[in-house]
Amino acid sequence: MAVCVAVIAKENYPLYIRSAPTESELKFHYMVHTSLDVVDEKISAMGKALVDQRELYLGLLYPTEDYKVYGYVTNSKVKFVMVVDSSNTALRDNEIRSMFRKLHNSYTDVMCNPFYNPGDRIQSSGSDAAEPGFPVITTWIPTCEKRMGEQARARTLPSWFPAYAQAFDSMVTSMMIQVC
Amino acid sequence: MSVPDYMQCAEDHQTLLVVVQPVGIVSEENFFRIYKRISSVSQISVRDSQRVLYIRYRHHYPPENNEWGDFQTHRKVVGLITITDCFSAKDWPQTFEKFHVQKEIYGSTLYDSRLFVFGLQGEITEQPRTDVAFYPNYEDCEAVEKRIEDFIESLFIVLESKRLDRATDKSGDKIPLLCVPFEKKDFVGLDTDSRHYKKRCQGRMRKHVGDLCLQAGMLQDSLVHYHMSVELLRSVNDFLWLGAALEGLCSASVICHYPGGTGGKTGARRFQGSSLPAEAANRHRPGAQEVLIDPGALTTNGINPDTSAEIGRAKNCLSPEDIIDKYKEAISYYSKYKNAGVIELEACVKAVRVLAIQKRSMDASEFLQNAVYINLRQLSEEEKIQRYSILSELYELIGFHRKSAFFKRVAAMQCVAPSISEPGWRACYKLLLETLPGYSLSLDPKDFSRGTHRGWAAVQMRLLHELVYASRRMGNPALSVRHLSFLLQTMLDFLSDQEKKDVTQSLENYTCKCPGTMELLTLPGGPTLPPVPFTKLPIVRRVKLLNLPASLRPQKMKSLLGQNVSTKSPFIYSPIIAHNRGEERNKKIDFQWVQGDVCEVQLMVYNPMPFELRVENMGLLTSGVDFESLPAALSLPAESGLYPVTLVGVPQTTGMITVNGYHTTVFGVFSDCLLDNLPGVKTSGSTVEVIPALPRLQISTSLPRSAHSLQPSSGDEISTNVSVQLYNGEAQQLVIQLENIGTEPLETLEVTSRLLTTKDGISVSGFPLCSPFRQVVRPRVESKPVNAPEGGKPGDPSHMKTLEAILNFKYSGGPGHAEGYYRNLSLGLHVEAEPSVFFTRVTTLPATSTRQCHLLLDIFNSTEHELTVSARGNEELILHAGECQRMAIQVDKFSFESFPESPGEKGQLTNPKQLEEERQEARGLEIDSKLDVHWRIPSLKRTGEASVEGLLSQLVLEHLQLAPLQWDVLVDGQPCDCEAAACRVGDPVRLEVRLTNQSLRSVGPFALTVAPFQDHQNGVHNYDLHDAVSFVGSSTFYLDAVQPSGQSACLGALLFLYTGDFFLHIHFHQDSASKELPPSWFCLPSVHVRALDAQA
Repeated sequence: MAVCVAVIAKENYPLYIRSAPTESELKFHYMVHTSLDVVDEKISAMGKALVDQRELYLGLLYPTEDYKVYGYVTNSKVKFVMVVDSSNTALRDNEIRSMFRKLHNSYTDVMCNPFYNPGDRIQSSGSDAAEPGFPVITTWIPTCEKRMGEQARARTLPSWFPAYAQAFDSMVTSMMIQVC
Repeated sequence: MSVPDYMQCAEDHQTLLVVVQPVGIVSEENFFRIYKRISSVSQISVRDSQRVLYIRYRHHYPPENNEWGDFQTHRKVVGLITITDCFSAKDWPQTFEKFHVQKEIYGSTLYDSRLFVFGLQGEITEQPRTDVAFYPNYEDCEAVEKRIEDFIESLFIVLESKRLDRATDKSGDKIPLLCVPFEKKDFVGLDTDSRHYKKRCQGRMRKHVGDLCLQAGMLQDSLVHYHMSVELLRSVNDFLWLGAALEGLCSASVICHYPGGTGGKTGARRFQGSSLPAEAANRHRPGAQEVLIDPGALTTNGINPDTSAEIGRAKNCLSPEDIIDKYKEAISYYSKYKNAGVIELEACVKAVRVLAIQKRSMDASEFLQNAVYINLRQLSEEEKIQRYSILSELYELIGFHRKSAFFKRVAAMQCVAPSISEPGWRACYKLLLETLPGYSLSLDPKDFSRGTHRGWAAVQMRLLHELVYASRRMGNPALSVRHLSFLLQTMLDFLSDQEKKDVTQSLENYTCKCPGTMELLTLPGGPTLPPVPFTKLPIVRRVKLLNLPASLRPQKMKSLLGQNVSTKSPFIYSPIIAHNRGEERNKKIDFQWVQGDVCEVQLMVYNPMPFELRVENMGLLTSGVDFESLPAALSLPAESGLYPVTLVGVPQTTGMITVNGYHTTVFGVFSDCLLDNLPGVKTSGSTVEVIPALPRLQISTSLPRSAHSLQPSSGDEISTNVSVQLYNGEAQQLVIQLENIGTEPLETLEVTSRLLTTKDGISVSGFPLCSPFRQVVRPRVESKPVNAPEGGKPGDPSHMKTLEAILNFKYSGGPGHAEGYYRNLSLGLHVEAEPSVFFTRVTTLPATSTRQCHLLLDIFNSTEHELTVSARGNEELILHAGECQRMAIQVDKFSFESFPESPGEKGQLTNPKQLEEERQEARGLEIDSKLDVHWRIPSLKRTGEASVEGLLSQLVLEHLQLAPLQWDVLVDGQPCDCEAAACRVGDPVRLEVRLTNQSLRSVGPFALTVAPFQDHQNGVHNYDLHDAVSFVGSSTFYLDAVQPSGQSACLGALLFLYTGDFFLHIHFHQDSASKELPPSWFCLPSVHVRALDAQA
């Protein structure tokens, strides 16, 4: 369904971005980046609403010729942006909304993991060479930004290391796979 | 109409369009100088009324746009001002002709025109003409503004007449149908008499009159006309014109609501350029706007004095909400007509500007989104650039910075599109630079040094790559290097391993032609590009100034009392240490560097790259003192761990030196990295004092150096160590050579030595270099032999022992000496003493004389070699390995009392036990020197001495000691000991027993009995000699008490009746007095008397 899913930090840098047609990845980067203007505008517009009454789903941010960009913002100002093929007219607002909710739940799971540093990129340690729309079976771990002066980071992970990002990633995959 | 004016805003509807153009050859500079003056007259208050006329000047206007003048009158060129150069009268007619030709272009719509002639002088200029003005030159034309005002007034007269003409044109006359160019063919053959047609004509005319009213400054009238027009046109579904009427209504309402304008400026426009959003924002002060946003509010009544206008406004004027709705409606009508694309586009732009003022960005973005999709026709590349630029500006206006940056970047890419024959790299670069804020990218690396990375790395990286490429194509390699350095420095965490390789590869390619510098680069636009120091290549984790090696460390002479006491705190000691991070870096370090000496700073570095990193020319950046930095080159392995790098330099002057940072050359880029700008660097202070130069001594010894270091408790830091292995009792000579390798003369040298306590807890004395001596040595090379025999005298000789000692050379000279500094060179001596020979048992046997005794030494050879032992005057004794033999030595007894006896003098602190030990030791030494026992290992050619020290028991010592009561027996006045005294038979022999008391107490009184006996040499002593020996007097003597150092004697006599050898045994009567004293004190010599024949 979705051709691109992005998680954006409070400070407006990407925590996670994945697009289905990987060859034009940068295009989606630009698309998601420019959508932040609208997200900012929408957030500031609803700024005065009470926190518990606030609607997290921002709706359609803007349409382009080929795609529709939807947004969602958590109470901690983490943004989810989803790009959907505009030819897919069957997609209703409610479905988008529920997809965002699923994404939010998965993200919450990632945050709950004690091994994840909030603000770190949710990044693949393995190869990104997954086929578009094909389930990615690699272990996804947050690559902690290499602290300066540390010994070269451990390349191998202990077997008990929780593959929490895997769940998140496969969820994203499931969102994308339905359209391909 | 195909050329949109992206600069349009709603207020433009009330302006009169005047075209200003040059004729003939007029330099651009001169033209624009006049143009500027002309366009300053953009607003004229009409005489005798409150109406204001607004003028819009254009120096270029496509005539086809003029054809849409009936549709919207502000598109109609109503005035023409022509500027020309003319220097001679004969050119004049030709020039004037050109003016007329120019007029023809816009002839159908012109109300009036003017010709400004520059340079012409003479009689032609005298003729009074209204449409021509003559000026001698471009400087001397003060009256231009006045002329323009007059011109505008004349335009107004025409406008007013047209307005009145049309407005009152309500008679039964047929109203002409106004139409746009593309409609003309549609109306051919239409029934002009139908009601429908008439209504259409009326509606359009109403709209036209509304436009004219608006231009003539009659806002309220125009609103009325527009409303009527909308009614009329809606009823006949004349959508295009209905759109125009609605837009007119919107424009009038906007003018009414926002007198500050929406387009940024109503008057002097820039020549070609774009409106400035910032300026627009300034014009609309928020306060004024708030009031005007709500026209119906009662609060506005007090503000505008013209109440009639207020009422009218409330009635006819659209509310801000309605304005947008009507704009939307108008645009939807326009969109029905493909040929009205430009009108639709411009309406969108105008609506966006209004929404920007209303701060309704979301709605504005919808209008803009619509504008993006309006396809006019095949645009030229230049028009595309213009369109993207204006979209970017409008997005900026509504606060969508990212979207704005996106379009600006697209515009930049358009500048160098492959279809363009001459790509505009300069323009592309300039536009790309303008996109930086939109991607929250600053080109100052300092903004990246603290905190986390800001912004969207993927798009930022892309932009930086584009900047690199554009600047290279622009032919400015310095800029490319700077951008590429910036990319590498700030985006390092986001680059993949392959990208890191690629970026460094291309950076190296660029820098081999144009090395990267630390200079500010000035960009074409004026701003500067700060330098990019590679603080991450390598990453520096810790900076530590190193002290000089121990032997070169300067020390301050303790001449001043209380110098060590810190003045900072009133407390001698406080456990609370103020932790101030800021101070930490600048705090002074408590050691000093020395002028002229190589000083070191250690950096812990780390290579983040996946390949080997070559760092060249790495040196220190310092301030405060002239410092000669000696740069180093290093090569760090891929993804190295922390790696220590030592940077060195020589301070040339004295004072406080601060290490500010370091410089490197990496990939051909010079970097000055200041510690202040480095995040996460630990330093323990970076300021250190440099003291004046001191001489420098180098030590060399006759024995090889050893890596063996002294026990850690030694305290001093030893620069050189000498280690030697010796047999117990062996002596070793050591020659120490000192060389001054510094530049300063050596003025003082002080040598001290110190023995370290051995691990066994036994201190060793007898180190000969105890007394410090002072020597002035010549500045140059000096050698000095020092005898340092190793007096290893262990208490327990059975196992190997270690002895350690330190020789200190304290020296100074040169300017450092004047400042009170010295250096301390220490030589550590490490001696391992192996056991040689030792005495397993020491016993004594009394000798024949009471003044002598036999010492029996059981000597054990613990070496693995055969050795010989000799004592004074004795023969050599050969001992095989592991053999033990007894050696007997006859020695005189010792009177130990002459030895240090005075505990009071030496030191009160020594306890009695220590004192006793000391005394024992001294006795041992005396005995040793008397015995002089030597050993020699012939196979190794090594010799040494052996000592009895520590082996002497109290008993042995007592035996060896002379008794304090000295007994002398004198026979016939001759002292008698060992030797036989001769006497004659029959003659009485005088016998005197003399006692000298050398003890500290009085002794006595004593009673002595003399018993003569004969020794039969077979073990039988015959005491029954009553008939052979007779006493003259008593055989018992009595001695009175003897005071210390007193003497007493008692006398008697013996008479020998027969010849023979007699012995006298003198013994004490057992009484209480003598029992207190040790028996060895009552050791009297046995007296041997030989009685001879009287004749003999």
